[in-house]
Amino acid sequence: MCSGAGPIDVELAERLKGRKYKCKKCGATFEAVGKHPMCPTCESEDVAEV
Amino acid sequence: MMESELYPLYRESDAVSDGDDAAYLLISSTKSPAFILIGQVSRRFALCIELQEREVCQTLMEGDMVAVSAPEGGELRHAAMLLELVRSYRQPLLVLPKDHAGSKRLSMVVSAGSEIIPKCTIIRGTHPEQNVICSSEELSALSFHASTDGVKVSYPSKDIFKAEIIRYSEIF
Repeated sequence: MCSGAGPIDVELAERLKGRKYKCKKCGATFEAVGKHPMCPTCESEDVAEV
Repeated sequence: MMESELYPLYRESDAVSDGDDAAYLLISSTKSPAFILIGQVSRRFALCIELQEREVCQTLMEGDMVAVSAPEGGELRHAAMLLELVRSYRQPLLVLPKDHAGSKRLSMVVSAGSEIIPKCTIIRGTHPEQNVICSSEELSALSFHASTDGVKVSYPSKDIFKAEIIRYSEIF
């Protein structure tokens, strides 16, 4: 329930943890979550976990 | 007991090419001015989430949602603009540190993914997890699950909200 003065600060149990990947097409390295990592630089899905 | 209803919102073409025909699901509270506006992704892309110390990317797949929540209400046009900045123009999401002064400036917030759970107990704009979104208390009883069939809304009672599919041309 929200208090009258504003939202209650609640720590969420699950934090955002990503895995590191390298794009085989453009060489960019990035951190991603989820099952289908995609290079944010060139949009290639040909990536490898590092 | 939760019930659910599927809204066939998904379109294979994207909002930019759809123009005036782009479709949104508008969830309005019947208890307050609060609402949530939802659009679906038609072409997958990497959504960038900018944290203070790093960047994390989340691939949005075809059918995933981009949702804008307005816990105190506001203009639909504002919400639709925010939605399209992310969905059509791939604007990164910025996550504020807890207790940041900017949190109180956020009248509307954005989340994205295949599942979105509204919560009224989180600090606006400070959580990187994309499956939750700050909302009004009554809309936090809902949940949204997306696929290429549409958006499934789960709810305890139909009394707390109204759902309708609206078009870009009705907003702009």
